[in-house]
Amino acid sequence: MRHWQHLDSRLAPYGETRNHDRACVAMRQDKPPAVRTRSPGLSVAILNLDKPELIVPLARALVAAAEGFEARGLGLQILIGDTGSRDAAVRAFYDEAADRVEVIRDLRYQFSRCNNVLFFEHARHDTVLFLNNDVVLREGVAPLFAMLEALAATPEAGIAGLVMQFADATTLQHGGIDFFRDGAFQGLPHHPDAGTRRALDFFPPVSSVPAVTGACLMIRSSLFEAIGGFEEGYEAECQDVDLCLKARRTGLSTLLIQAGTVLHLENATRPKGEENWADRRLFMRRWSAFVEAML
Amino acid sequence: MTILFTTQRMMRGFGVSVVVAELARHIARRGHRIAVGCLERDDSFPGIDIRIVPPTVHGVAKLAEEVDATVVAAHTSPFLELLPDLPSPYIRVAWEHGDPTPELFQADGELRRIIADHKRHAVYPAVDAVIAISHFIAHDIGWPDAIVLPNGCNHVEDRGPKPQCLENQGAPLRVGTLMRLGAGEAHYKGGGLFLGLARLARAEGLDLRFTVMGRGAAEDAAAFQAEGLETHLNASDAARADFLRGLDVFVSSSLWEGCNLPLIEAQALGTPAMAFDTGAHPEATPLIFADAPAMLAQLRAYAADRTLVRDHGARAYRFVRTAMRWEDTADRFLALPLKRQEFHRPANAKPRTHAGLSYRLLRAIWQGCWRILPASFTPLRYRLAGHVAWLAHSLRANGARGTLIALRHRWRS
Repeated sequence: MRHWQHLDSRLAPYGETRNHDRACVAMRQDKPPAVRTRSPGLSVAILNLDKPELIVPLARALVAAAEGFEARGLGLQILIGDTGSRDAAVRAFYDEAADRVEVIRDLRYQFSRCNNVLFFEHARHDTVLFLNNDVVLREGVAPLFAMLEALAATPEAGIAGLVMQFADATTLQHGGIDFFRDGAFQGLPHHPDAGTRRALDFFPPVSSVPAVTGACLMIRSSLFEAIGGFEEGYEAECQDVDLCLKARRTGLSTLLIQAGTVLHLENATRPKGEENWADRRLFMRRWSAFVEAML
Repeated sequence: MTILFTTQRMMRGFGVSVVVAELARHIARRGHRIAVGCLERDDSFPGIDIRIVPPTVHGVAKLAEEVDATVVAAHTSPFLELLPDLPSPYIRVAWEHGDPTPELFQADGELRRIIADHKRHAVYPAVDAVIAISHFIAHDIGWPDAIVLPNGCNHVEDRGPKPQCLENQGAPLRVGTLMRLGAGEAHYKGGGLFLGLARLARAEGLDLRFTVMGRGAAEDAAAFQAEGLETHLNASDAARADFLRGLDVFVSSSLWEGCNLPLIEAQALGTPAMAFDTGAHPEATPLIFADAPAMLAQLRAYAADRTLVRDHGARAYRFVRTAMRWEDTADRFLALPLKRQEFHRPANAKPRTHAGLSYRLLRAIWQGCWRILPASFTPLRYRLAGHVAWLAHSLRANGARGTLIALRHRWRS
């Protein structure tokens, strides 16, 4: 891996790791979860901690979409993984919506682990959408149907994501994820053109990208099961890209869907500027050679 | 320039021997003279000047003088440990292939740790260059300033990537591994994990055929045969290449590797090669997996889509063939600005070669262990060498009285 000579020192793939700890991961004997029969439809998994101004309108928009799903012969399941909300408005909403929204409480926040719990223990449909609570479906749930339709029409794809903008609805927040191909961060994922003014029609309705953000990531349930869900070794970042690459490694691509205005307030629920270099080093070990050789 | 390589053995079945031989050949092609000194050898490496040398400073210096060497590069113990005491004018290079993680050995892990610590404290700071065969080894030996010179893969015949054709369509996916099968290394080589992978696949009803090639005795292969795996023991180099080429997928289940030559060789022969995120594997293959279930998911995908297998094999072939060439390793070694360094000592310090009587006595005992005990006593050699290395290191660092105190603490604990 000649390019490792030139990597930023924070990305040195072996970092503070010990081989024995890596060997222990390899030796783990976790039993794979039992395969469940899943019915046609969409299970939406959202992690939440307080933030009534985000979760309540989002959940209500999804609940309102249930009829549209039913009209298409699809089920809709809304799962909220709560990581310790104390806000009264949020708890009141949970109680109010108890017949339409399943709330799994008292999860200890860790993106991968919590989403894996929601999926493996609760999801019952053949497609799952992992959705951040700070995603705003400005024009309703039509983008979700667009994602479902794109996946249905593209059997060689396994994952779909959305073009998203920041709160001003003109600055690009997410247009797919790519990798630095040279320089001190070669192999590390990044969001091309994020922060630039990009008209939505710059993006075709459906395109293929190396990866999409886990803030809004739709995946076939059978694929998510087959590739073992999100890798729980990542504490804070890169787990979404890891998932997309695992899918790609099995021959299934990732789609980027442009379906109107979808906002991602980004870091509304996570401290700004938080970077996890241990996660990035783990990603580099697992994937930098794959990115170099296979993409 | 004449270079003297020293290594424990030059014998078939040992990756370090292959590395030393390939480096020797490519350095010789560049017009330099190269000789190899070792403790034991067979006839697997014709055309290379290989000589038996005792593991002593005097023995190595004598051989270096005979071949008129300017550079002495040690690839393994016990020769690494002799480097600091080699007299002028030899340039001393520690060429590290690494040592398996001590925690992976129940019987002698502590001794292995002692040997590694000794090198870190007493060898690397006192030689003229430290070379590591991978970024992982530079990290693992605790010498991040080591110069990384990766091994090559083009000692393996280039048969090109495998054609996208119809052979084996419909047949079970052939999944194989190549490892030393002896009991002493079985745990870290991951034989049990490979068996576990085969069991998982069978439990799921996947149409996979698992096969093992390795060096060892018939009883070493028994566990694999009992599980219904095909085994091939002590094959020739040609049979080994045919085996790697004939697989659909190569799997390494090793928990530590400084490089993993079989993994690289399989790819050089057009076979995609999977490995765990252990050792130097992230540098050696694009197909890295956290654990056995993750590997199984990939094998499942390969079994369902042979085009994917071929595509990955072709890409893996290009990955290793473009980046891992012995001529590049040799060129980069020859371009190193090697020169002998005289390490600063206080004016009244005794020169290292005139260390105290107790240290010299112990060093003589240690070197004698290597000379007297036959090769089959290698585990005992390491055990004795580890104890002696600890004593020698302690005497040098703490003196006789400090060593006695340290010994009392060790016995009590």
